Amino acid sequence: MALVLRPSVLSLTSLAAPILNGTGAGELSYGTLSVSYAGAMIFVSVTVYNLTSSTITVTEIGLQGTVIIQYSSGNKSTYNFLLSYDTFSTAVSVPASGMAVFQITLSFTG
Amino acid sequence: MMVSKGIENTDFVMPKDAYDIGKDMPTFNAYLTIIVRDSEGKIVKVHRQRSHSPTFNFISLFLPLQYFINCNCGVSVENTGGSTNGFIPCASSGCGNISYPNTATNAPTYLVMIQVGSGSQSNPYSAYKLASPIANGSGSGQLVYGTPSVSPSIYVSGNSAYFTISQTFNNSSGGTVTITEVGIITQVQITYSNSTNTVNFGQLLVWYDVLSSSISVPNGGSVTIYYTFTVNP
Repeated sequence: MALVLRPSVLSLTSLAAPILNGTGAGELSYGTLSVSYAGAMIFVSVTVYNLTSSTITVTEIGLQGTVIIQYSSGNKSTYNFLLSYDTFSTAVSVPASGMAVFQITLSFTG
Repeated sequence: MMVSKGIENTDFVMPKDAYDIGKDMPTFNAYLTIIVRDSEGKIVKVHRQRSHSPTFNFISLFLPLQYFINCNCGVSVENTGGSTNGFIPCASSGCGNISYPNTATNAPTYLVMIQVGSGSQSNPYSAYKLASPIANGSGSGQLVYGTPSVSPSIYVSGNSAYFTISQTFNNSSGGTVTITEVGIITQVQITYSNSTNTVNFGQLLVWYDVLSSSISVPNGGSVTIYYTFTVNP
């Protein structure tokens, strides 16, 4: 499926309406993040499970990163940031008891 | 998990509309701009080309922590001297992580230079040094390396954003010097969170390009090389 950049995507810091990790209504159960690489591409994927009794619709996706800076004093500062953001050209419906795999490829080869 | 008959292979077959059909723009782009000046400062050549070539060292250092957690493994980076070091970051104490770039005296992580050379390599990804680096100096075949410069901020224009790394080289060799390859070299130091221990990886080639056409720098002239990295170009 095609992905569409949202206008003013550079200024985004979070998804518009993140789907929570869980089994409650409207929630998806997030699996472990998988990371691999091949050549100059890094693949980040996650499997989500719909453990609710209703279809859940996914319309946006983002890659959130965390940078931890540790100072010589031992103190740490944690910064969360949105590394990538896309909206789907067509929504992805995950049926009840179904699952979906989302993969984002970071390509540095242009 | 139950999978219905006929779609057993959905994990292996990429949907047709997921392929690049030539209508999508890459969200990341890197390119080289090279400006050559003669001994009077007049621009005699402008060269532009796409840059495609992060090295394995770059990918290794950019991998998210989750990669190392999942595989319980490390990667090996190789510096320009050919020495290798294991890189196994983690979030707990006892692991070495990349030191924050600064100019402190403890040889931390920083941009060393854009390096130029007169050779070439067929597989830029696996390169850990230039094939034939041009030495810094005013002897025959040498160039005087200026200080590398990074744009003071990330420039934003609409949805696009970019920054540049640039460096100027002067030719005081007495003859024309020809450049055929270019790379970015960084110094990387690992610090351990539970101690003051450090491991210096040395100078790492993180980006490498063979020029699509060679660049001749006349005697008394100069060349400025710009690497531009942009998102949503």
